[in-house]
Amino acid sequence: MPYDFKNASILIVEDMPPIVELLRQILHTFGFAEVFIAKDTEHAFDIICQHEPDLILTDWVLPGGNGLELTKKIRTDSQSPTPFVPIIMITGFCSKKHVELARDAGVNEFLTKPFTSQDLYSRISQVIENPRDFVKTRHFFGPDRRRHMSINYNGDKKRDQDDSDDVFEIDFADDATDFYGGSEPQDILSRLRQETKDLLPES
Amino acid sequence: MKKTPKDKAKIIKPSNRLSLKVGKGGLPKKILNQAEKIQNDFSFDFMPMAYSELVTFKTQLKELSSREDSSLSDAAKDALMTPIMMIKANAGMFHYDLLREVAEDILYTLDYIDSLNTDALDLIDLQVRILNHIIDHARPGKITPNGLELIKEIDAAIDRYRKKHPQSTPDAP
Repeated sequence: MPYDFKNASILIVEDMPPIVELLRQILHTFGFAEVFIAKDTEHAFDIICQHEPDLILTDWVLPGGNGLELTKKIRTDSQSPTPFVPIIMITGFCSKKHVELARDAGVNEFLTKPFTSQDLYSRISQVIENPRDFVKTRHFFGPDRRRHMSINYNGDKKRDQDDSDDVFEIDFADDATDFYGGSEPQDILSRLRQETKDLLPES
Repeated sequence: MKKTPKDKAKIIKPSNRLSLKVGKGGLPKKILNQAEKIQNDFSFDFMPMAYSELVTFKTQLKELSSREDSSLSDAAKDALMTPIMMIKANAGMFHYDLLREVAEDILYTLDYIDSLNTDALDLIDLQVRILNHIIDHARPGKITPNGLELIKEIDAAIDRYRKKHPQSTPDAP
């Protein structure tokens, strides 16, 4: 039996309207009937207290606060009705430091922008199929931060490749259109490229 | 140091409310394809917002580079990285591929540097002029061969900077 999201509710905490709209459309396609929207942490916590959504997607950077603070509040505030609710942090930050900060705040999953609908589905599926135990210590309350992972990772590491050509295996399409037509922008682009080439010459 | 009972971690197995409501077994491929199409077809003119983020970044950079102390605190780094992160994230979401790629390189540079030394400022200044130019002329779409060449040169410049200013390497973007 496939997932049936029609009885599940989800809260999107995001202040950028087009991203909210895109998420809303994707989640409705997945089958979520009840999608709550909040554009700041205060509004989000009100919705959580009132409706107790089954899943939360939160942006990191929010007006008047951030997704980390919201996560900590959901996990530890005495007023929070759902300290165990799955939280997926959505952000453009992707450094190890940021992932660790999110993990230490108590998020279940981390989704980096830009993401695809498939990425979003994978994170939702992860919290459904592989829920983590919660850990309570004097300084932390949230999903178990330990991950089972292979230490023999052999995949690509963008900055550590000897052959940097691999980085540019991006799909060439006939409709390559990242610049308007006309020669002027391309001329400037070429000039900037040359300037970049000449920057910080190796002695 | 010996752990006291108070320091011991308590493991809790919460009931999986979401799973109980939705069941297990995933979503049919058809639904996932529909969602993918919605995302691919979704358009938004991100350029005014990108320009506004760039202005925020330039203001922060100007303020920080005018200080006598060129070192960068974590807070200063975050202030510089946030507007570029916003450009990278949203350019990617709305299919401005070249803009996303260049912003990602700037983000990497900002993550790597620990001070606003002359070389760092030269590198960031050039990257920002490139970003500015792209914002002035970009529209959604895949990266052209010219764009790819540009990114290649930016990556090479970052590598030259890393060789000249070696330090512990942050995660690759």
